[in-house]
Amino acid sequence: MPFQPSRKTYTILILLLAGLLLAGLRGAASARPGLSSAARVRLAAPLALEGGAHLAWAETSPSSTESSLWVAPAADLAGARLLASVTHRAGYPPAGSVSPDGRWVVIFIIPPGVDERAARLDGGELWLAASDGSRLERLAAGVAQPGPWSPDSSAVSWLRLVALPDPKEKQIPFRTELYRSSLDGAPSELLFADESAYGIVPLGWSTDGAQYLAARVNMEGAWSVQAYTAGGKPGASWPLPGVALARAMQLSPDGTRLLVENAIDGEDQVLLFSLAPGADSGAQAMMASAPLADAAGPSPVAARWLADGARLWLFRAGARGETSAQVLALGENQPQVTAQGAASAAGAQTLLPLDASRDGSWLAWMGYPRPQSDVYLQTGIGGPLEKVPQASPENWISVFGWIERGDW
Amino acid sequence: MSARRWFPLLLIVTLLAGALMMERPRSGQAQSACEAPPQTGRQPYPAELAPLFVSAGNVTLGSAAPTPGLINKGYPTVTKVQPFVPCILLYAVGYTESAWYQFDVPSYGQTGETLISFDCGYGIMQITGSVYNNEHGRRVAGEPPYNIGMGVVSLVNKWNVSDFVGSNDPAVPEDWYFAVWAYNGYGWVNNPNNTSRFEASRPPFDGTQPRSWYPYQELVWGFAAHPPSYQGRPMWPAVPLTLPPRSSITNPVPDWIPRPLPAHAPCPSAPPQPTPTASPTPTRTPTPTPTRPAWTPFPLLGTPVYLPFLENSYEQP
Repeated sequence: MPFQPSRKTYTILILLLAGLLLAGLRGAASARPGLSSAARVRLAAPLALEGGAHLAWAETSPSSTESSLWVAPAADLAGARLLASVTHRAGYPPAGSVSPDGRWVVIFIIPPGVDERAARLDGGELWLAASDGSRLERLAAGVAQPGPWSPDSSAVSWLRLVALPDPKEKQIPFRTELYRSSLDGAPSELLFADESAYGIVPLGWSTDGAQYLAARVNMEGAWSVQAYTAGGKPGASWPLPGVALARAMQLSPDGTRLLVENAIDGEDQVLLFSLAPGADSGAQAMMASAPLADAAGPSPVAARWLADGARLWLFRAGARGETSAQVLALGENQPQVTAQGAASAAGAQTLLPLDASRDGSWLAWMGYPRPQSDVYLQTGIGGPLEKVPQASPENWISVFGWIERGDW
Repeated sequence: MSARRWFPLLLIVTLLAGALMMERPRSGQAQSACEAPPQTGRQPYPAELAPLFVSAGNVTLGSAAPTPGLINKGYPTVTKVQPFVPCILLYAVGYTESAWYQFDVPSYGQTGETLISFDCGYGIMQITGSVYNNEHGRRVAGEPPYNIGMGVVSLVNKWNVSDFVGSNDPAVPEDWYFAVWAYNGYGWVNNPNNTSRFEASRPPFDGTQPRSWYPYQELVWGFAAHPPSYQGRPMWPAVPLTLPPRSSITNPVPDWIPRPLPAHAPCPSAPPQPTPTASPTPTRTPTPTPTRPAWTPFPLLGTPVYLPFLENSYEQP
């Protein structure tokens, strides 16, 4: 008897085929054929995190393809517990960050077998782990560089560079693509692509998540901040006059101000720009400046936002290895110094700012000239320093960020 | 139209679209990816490879390697001269790319198949692009001298289209800063001031730090000054090449930067050369040193000649 499919059978088959097509589309956008991702990140036993700030970091032996991802209470670094083990290309330790709500850790790896070129263009992978070790999945592949989290911790951004077959400008041989990977399992979404900027620095989202902000420098050397709305359409932009070599850029947690460490005319500056709607061009304030004696060495001045977005953590490297630090409260009027102190570590020429816990009570520093290995925690400004433990002094420490169990 | 009539059409369209999606090359990946099959061979020891780098840079490997085109020399007036690449750069580029491994084996001296990266970089110099399943591709995959020679071809091509350093003298390693940068990827991706990728306060690379903290050319400079050891001996004599100050590498890069001083001789085994004067005054002409390769080339079909019309194919190392 010949097969006589019913209308219902047709409908089911069509839906099945549509699903297969969608799966193919998604796979073409993110999968890297021939490269098994199995077991590159392996969770340890789930962690029962208690209250208080925890630091998450990776430890890597320089010649190894294996790294350990640790979580420890800031007050008890010796009590570090293993969150995950990671396999990667030697020389490329895992990097990553903790979501603003502290629940997730995103892990960026360059897998073994990826060459020096692909490692910089599109050879990386993003993995997502619950910070208590209860969940693990691969978020994206084809990644050049991880970007900031969305303020609500629902998504993370990342960059990919795509070689242009016939570049119009030899200094722009790649198209920059910026993607958003959400934690709900939806396919990665292209937020914008750019083939005209000389350089792009991903900054992050506006507080409402409606716009993504990126700094870009054009072929004339002019810096600006560009907002991109849904669908990749350019929105508002803000010029950044006076910015020459941007040594660091950091968006305020509320997405309305930008800190820029700027090297210009032999001077290192910390500039604050307003990104408020209709803000005038020009720096809102110069928070600090110092002569730039050696541009290949440590920054003489630097700053970091504290999580409340109303305070800055400001540093100045001293001549004798002592770093002075201040916390500045930004108000309507002149910034107010709310705390200040100094820090130094044996064996370090100077200390460099890394990150502060969400409440600002813990500060993480890198020791120069071994910033890749010497990482310290300090209990508030002026407090004692404790070195992040290592199995070997040569091992690299990559700080991912802070997990504060009380947040969720 | 009834469902029975349009369903086969829909089925065909869907399957075709799916097949197209599956076959679509990944963005940024050469369509000729990994065409050349891996070759089996013995991984030479560093002592066997070191003279090959010297000969390849001097373009004296003869039929064992492809012949690069002429190289530009001089600034602001450019002339074409015989190709030349400083061996210290070839040592360091080869080490950065593959640790000098042509074959995917655990240690030197063992036999195995060609080292092929996931993105189809072949062998010591991680050659990509136009590595087809033909005589050229098989030699790139199987013959260390040929592979290093292709690295020389690629570097010369990069040099000829790069911005200028100093007097644009191929014999001065420091003048190769932009060309070595371009070997991995020119532009923002390896700009030393791209601090969204590279820690601004990084110390100079000495082989002990994470590679991901450094632009490609700083890795090469770092390995030149800090050669790795094999069996207790450095794989090449250290040459502390000078990096240009980061402040001179603006966004975008200028057409010309002064030569970083002190500049160095092209090959650590070569006789000491006078320190070149500040650019852009003309300096010496490269004087290739004929060197006999210690490694015995494979049987040859003839002298391969680098064909200019294939230049674009060799763009990506």
